[in-house]
Amino acid sequence: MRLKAKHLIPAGLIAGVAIFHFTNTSLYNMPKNVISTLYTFDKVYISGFLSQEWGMFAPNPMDRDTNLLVNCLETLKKTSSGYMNVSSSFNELRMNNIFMSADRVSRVPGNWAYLYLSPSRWEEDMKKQCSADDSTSACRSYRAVKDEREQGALKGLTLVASRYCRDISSPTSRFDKARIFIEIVDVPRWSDRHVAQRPEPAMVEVGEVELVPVSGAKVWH
Amino acid sequence: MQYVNSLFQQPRHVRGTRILINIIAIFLIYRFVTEFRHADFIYSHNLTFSPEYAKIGLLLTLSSAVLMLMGKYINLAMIVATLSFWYLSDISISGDGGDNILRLVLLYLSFVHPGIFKDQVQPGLKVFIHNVAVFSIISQVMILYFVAGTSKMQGDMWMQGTAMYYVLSTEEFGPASALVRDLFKHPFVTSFASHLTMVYQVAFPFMIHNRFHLAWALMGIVLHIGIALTMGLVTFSLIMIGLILFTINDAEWAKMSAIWRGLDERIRARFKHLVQRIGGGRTQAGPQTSAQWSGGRMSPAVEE
Repeated sequence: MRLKAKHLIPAGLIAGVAIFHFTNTSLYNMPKNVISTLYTFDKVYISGFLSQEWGMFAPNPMDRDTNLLVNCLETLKKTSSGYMNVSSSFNELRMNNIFMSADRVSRVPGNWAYLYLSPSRWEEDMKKQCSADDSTSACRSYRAVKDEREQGALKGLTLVASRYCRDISSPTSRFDKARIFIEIVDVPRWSDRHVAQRPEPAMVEVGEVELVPVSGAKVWH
Repeated sequence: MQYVNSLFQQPRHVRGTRILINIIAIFLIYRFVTEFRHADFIYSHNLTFSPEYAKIGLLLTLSSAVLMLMGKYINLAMIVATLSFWYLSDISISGDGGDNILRLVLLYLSFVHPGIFKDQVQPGLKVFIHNVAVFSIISQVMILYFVAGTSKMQGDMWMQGTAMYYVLSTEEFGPASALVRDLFKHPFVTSFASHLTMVYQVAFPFMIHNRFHLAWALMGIVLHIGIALTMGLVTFSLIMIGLILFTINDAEWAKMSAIWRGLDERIRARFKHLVQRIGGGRTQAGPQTSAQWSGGRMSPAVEE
């Protein structure tokens, strides 16, 4: 087959798009360097549909469990369900059978809790700049990003708490609020790996939230 | 110029593309089966969420998976899967690296040549577009592994070799078996697993076009089966295995088929020889079996 202009021109355009795409993808995924301070279009280009994050347990893997503790409250009757770890039962289910929905279901409460606590890579960078001088615009941006993340995560945690409280409610008890805590349990350090007891958990209070109406099948039986 | 010409003539990674598409179909069906019941819990990202859309999204991924398995309307199936899977992963907090790479790979696969499923490929621009899609997938996988590996090199747990101990000791990613957990408390085991993972990922782009690629691919498949079994990341491992199989080119598949055929023939010949020897041995010394006796007449093997 002899190549003609009607083939070569569109092929050149397609190849150009592919080269442009992978140049930006490569620049976006590179660690901070001299080019990234001059060229920032890759940050705009690799977002939305093309967003990607290939850290995958890097630079260090998870070395703690983040559990969600929920206490459902019925404000009129002044009763409560008592605190329940809503993450751990799913982890047990997942461990016993890796081929089941418990895997994805268990990630929901854990990941919202993780998002509430953990800033992204970009937020960490902004935080570093902010610690030098807290009156800068970078610092204002950092606070805005931090608030947005925490508010977003709080909405997710509210949905989880609403579903949990709905699932455990009975005809006589209708919960309307929930108090949420996040429990952080560290894995024993390498030098203490043969110690049977895990370290004391740390608690982070998220606060009291108004429950929202939810639909769908029961998650907690 | 000859190389450029070949990009219009012959679609690359035809077998790998078919395998990857089938694995993606299995992935999407598995996700549908395990998630549909709890879709409104898994796919809820804010307080004004409409769960019906998530279910529609899952149904669309299922229908595209069926088309993929049938090898029909493949470009349409890919576009539908790309859009619905993008929507689903966008409204979910439960995603992982497997979902992220799949989203991009589905987009690239939307440009594969539809004729590869029927072996009806006419040279031309469509073949060129197919080949660009193939190179895009391979480049994306190379970026994924290289970034994952080099990022790990910046972490002290990976460098010290204790990373696998830590991650497998959590409730979220740890195995049920206490034996496996204890195994990773041994310095050699955790160091071997941690360093091997890091080396595999960093070296991946350099192993694609060399003569050890098949061995490297096999190693990657074993690594991802290990991740699925110990950490429970089934869907992530499935998609990564699919992508590793995709990187095997058609010549390598042909080479593997030839090795397999040779091995198969040799095994069959050995087995036949063994059966003949056993059969022959029995006529000389062993008792006569009912199979050797038919209609009051000795079977040909015995008569000989």
